[in-house]
Formats: sequence, structure tokens, C-alpha cells
Amino acid sequence: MSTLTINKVSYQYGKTSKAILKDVSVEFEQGVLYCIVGKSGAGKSTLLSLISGLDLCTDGTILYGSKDLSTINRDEYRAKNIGVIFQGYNLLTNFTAVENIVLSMNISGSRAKGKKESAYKLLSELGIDRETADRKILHLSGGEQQRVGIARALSHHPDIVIADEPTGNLDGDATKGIMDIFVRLAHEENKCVIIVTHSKEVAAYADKIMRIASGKVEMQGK
Amino acid sequence: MFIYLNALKNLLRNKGRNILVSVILLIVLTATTISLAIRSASETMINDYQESFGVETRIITDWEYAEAHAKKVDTVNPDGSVGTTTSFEPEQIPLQKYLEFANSEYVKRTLFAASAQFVSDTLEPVPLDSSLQRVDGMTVEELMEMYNMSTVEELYEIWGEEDIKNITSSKKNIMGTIWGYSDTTLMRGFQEGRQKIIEGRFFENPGEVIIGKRFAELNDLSPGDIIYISGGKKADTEILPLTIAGVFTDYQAEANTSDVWIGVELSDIIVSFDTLLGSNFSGIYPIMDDIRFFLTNAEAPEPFWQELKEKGLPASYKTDSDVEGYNEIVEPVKKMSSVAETFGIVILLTGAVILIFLSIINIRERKYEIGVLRAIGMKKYQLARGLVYESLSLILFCAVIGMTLGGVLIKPISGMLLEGSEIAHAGVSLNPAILPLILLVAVGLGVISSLIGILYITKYEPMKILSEQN
Repeated sequence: MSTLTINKVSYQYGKTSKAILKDVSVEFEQGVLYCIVGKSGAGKSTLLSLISGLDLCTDGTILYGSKDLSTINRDEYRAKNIGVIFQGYNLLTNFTAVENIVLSMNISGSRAKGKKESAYKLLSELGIDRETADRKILHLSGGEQQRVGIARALSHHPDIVIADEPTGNLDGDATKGIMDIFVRLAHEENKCVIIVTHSKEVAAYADKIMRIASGKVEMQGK
Repeated sequence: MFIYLNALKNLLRNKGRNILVSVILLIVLTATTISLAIRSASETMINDYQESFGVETRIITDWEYAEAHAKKVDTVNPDGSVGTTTSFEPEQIPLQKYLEFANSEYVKRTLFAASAQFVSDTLEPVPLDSSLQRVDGMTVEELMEMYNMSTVEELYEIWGEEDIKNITSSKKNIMGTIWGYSDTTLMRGFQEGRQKIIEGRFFENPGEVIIGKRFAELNDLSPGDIIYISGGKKADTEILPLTIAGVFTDYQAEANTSDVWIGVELSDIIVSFDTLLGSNFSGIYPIMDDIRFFLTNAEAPEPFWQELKEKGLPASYKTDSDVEGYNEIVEPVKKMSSVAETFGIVILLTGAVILIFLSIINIRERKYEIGVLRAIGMKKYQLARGLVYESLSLILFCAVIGMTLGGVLIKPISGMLLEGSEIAHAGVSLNPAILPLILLVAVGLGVISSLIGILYITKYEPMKILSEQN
């Protein structure tokens, strides 16, 4: 069974506006790195917000396993089953990096002991040392903030990791470092990784590429 | 637990704003503490005053009524012209009636004074230096002869029927007057320093008496001795033993021994009102001017008067209540209470408005934080709890400091408000009973300030908050 099944999904802002997504049907599976590409305004980010349960489609269904996202507790879904890396990072700026991670673990309901140590470890795996981890977000560089965002998305061990332009502000080396992490997550940790990107360089890492144009989605194998 | 810990950390993370909120809360809660403490203390003061004093009320002659009902008698002047004289003799109110009047729901406390004449077979009266002729125990005939009158009516007209009856019903060997007072404040001689205890003490227990220095010396009496007296009316046969508690001197009498009337008082003895009442002497007369009824509150005089009329207060009497005196003492306290209450309400409302305003700003500032937390899965109720915990922690912290500050400031502030008042010395302090009320106010403010955030969280979805922010 697919991890995520998008079935004839349509979406439009308000009743009178033009539909951004029209009858989109696509399936996502574990262990695969997906890239969604398309022009600005094509509906890539909208699709991500529907998948992450931040918004509801106006038509059709999105299933997580066999559960319809419109009927389940989406707060719970976001807290436990999916990790979102936002385009603007969306980190809590007056928290330290490690506090952002621990808070996310707490929200997911984790009762594990030593959450702070786990958070340091996770950050360290993403190239953030302890000293940097104890700094407030505003005192971190864009690349460091991006890594913290990834750490937060992974902190509660979700099945699905989605990322909106995760390398938009990074240079070539940093991009490679981040993309290697996503590849490892998909191939070694069997996560379903979905990335929205404009970058051909990023798309080159994908196992499958989804192209969005005129509200329609076309899946391309590599 | 993490929500609470996170709320506490948030208080430190947003130091600037929280210091501002704390200052406002401290002002509001300190003012509330002072206001509530003053209000509570004022109520206690007024209640205490009512409990112990009340509105002083006397029964007095209604001279307007007397003028309208005076007896008119035509008289022939020495030049032969005819004139008219008027006279009015108010009906006497027996002591029993006063006691009946005192038994009222409007009466908190009474002051009673009464007197009776007494005789004794075992005591010597202080001899008088004057040629005063005592009339006690004389018959009507003897009095008519003494005053050269031919008819009883003539005698009554000059002396009054009541007085003649008093004289004729008395024993011949009257020794002096026994005075009974329910409170030492009625003993004006002692209050004004004219009389003073020089040996022993005032009477405290039933059956105790104080006597004059000369009377004591003449009869070789000292505190602890027992004297035996009986009532001055012919009908009184019972012997009353009285234990001497103290001996007093009368400086005025000592300075004017030739003064007939003061000289008479040298054999007088003083007991408590209850002792006199318990003697069962048949001729105990109330001292109207010294009888006081202290009524429960400023509204009681009117219904009390109505009650007295129903109980048989003669039409020639009315009541005189010192409402002004009562208000003079109670009003400053009421005013202080009202000022404190108004001040408290104004500060509380202003504080609440400022808090609401700050909460709105706070939520706008924290819109992004709320959006992020919602986006990563924090539930609405968890966020709401976090905001409530933040508010309550800050408010409880401020409440403790506010109550302490208020407790320190109450005395000087109430002192200023009560300046010149007779009961200012009673002082105002923080009554522990009002602490829960202050906490309730504090929690109320906390709820108000968190409610704004909760409404915001409930109203918007994370996507909307984040998209607005971005």
C-alpha cells in the first residue's frame, strides 16, 4: 500500500478563482525520493500544504495509508507522521536551535528520556555542533537554519519528510550536503521524501520527478 | 509538563514585554490590595463602632408639645391687673418603662443611671453645717403648716403632686442618696476630676459600693467593710448589705462645706446600676438626662421612636438622636472606603484595558510563533494552555509582590485618607480574609489577557497565520 495516495484532488482559493490543482492523482511510497517541479504559481507549494495537512483540498481525497486526511486529527498527523521543512525555515527565532528540536519532540508526544541529548546528536549528524546548537536561531546562518529545520522535521522520526525549496538559499557545497541527507533518508532510512524545487541540480537527486503544469501532475521516472 | 516549562521559559524569552506587563500588573494588584484592604478594614471599623457605640439617643421633653398643652391660670397682679401664667408638668416615666424601652432590636447598648434614698440603723450621716430643714417623711398636714398653706391644692400647685407624694411616702431619717450607674462615664464628678478614689477601687462586682471620705471617717469604714442600708420609702423593710470597694473624696465639697446642697451629698453612696436595681427598693427613680440608648445604625432612630410610642412613651416626650455625631465618626471611614473602592475600580479597569491592549500587541508579535507551533502539530488547546500558564505564572508572581507592597503601603495611605477622623487610630491592616479575593482578581486579569490569545488561536488556521506572516 502506498504511504500517500492523492486521488482526484482539486484545489482552488475561493469559489470564483481559477483552480490551482485539477483532478490530481498520484501515489507516494516509502524509500523513494520525489521531486516536484514546475513554474512559480503552478501549485507545487499548495500540493505540499495539502499533503502536510496544513490545508484541505476542495475536491478529492488524500489518504495517509488508508486514512483520509480530511477526517483524521491533522495536528496529530503533523506532529507524528510527517516532517515539514518550510521554505522560510519557520523556526522559533527566540529559541535556541536545540530548543526548537526538543519542542518538536515534545509536541510529537515523545516520552523518551534524554531528548536534549538526542537533539544535540541529531543536529551534530547534520553538521551543527553543540556550541552552534545552543545559539538562538537569529544568530545562525541561512545554511545552519536550514539544517536545524531539517533536524526538526526528522526529530520525531516521521514516515514522510517534505521540503519546500530546501536548498533555495544555499551554495553548491551546502546543497550537496543537504541533498545527500535526503537521499540517505529515502534510501537508508526508508522514508518517503518529497521535495519541491526549481533547481535542476536538486531534481537530479530524485528517484521520481513530478512535473506540475496547468493544475495537472505528470510523474516521470528517472 | 513541557507546556508549563515552555511557558516559564517564554516569560524569560520575552523579558522586555513581560517586564512592562509586570509593572502594570504590580500597579493594578497593589492598588487592588490597598483598595480591598481599606474597604474590608472600613467595614470592620464601622461594624466595630456600631457594635460598641451606635447612634446615641436620649428621651427628652418635647417643649413644643409642652407649650401647646401648658396649663393656663389667671392671676391678679399687685396693681390689680389680671394676667395669665402657664405651667406644664411632664408625666414622669418610671424606671420600669425605660427598661422596657431598652428591650428593642434597635438598641445595641444602653447607659442607665438611677437613684434612691436610703436609711441605715447602723451608720451616722455626715452632719450638716447648715440650718437646712429636711422634709422627708413629713405628712401633708405638716407640710401645709410648714409652708403656711390652707389647702392641699395650694401645696400641690407650688410643689407638684408627685413631689409631695415622694416626700410623704419617705421615711423620716433619710441618710443620703444611693446612686446607681451602669458605666463610669456617667459619673461626671470622677470624669471631670471633682471626685477621686483615694482608697481601694471602683465597684466592679454586684453588691459593691464606694463611699465618701467624710462618711467613711465618721463611721470608721474602709474598703472590705460591709454596710447595711435599706430603702428610703416607708414600704421598704429589707436590709441590703453592701461591701465597700473604695473611698472617694469630693474636692468641690471639701472646698465648699458651707454649701447646703453639696454638704448633703457627703453621705451619698455610689453603686452599679445593677446593684441598685437588684436592691428592690420601692423608690428608684431614673435620671432621665443620663439614660442613653445606643442604636444599631443611622436609620434606626425613626423606627425606634415609633416603637417607644407604641410602648407608651408619653406624648410630652420625644427622642433626640445624635446622628450627626455618629456620622461625624462613621462618614470619614465610609468616605475612605468609597475613595479606596473607586480608586481600586478605576485602576482595575484601566489595568484591564491596558492588559487587553498589550495582549493584542503580544499576540500580533507572537503570531508567527503560534503559526509555527500549529504547523508542527501543536494542538490548539496545548497552545491555549501555554498562554494561560504564562499569564497565570506572571500574574501570581506579581500578585505576591503586589500583596506585599500593598500590605506595606496600606497604613500610610489609610492614615492620609483618615486624617482627622476619631477612629483613625484604629488603623488599617491587611486582612488575610481578602487574600483569596485579590488572587481571584489576579486570576481574572490573567484570564482576560490570555483570552485574547486563545480567541486568536481558535480563529485562525496555521496556514493562514504563516502565509500572513510571510
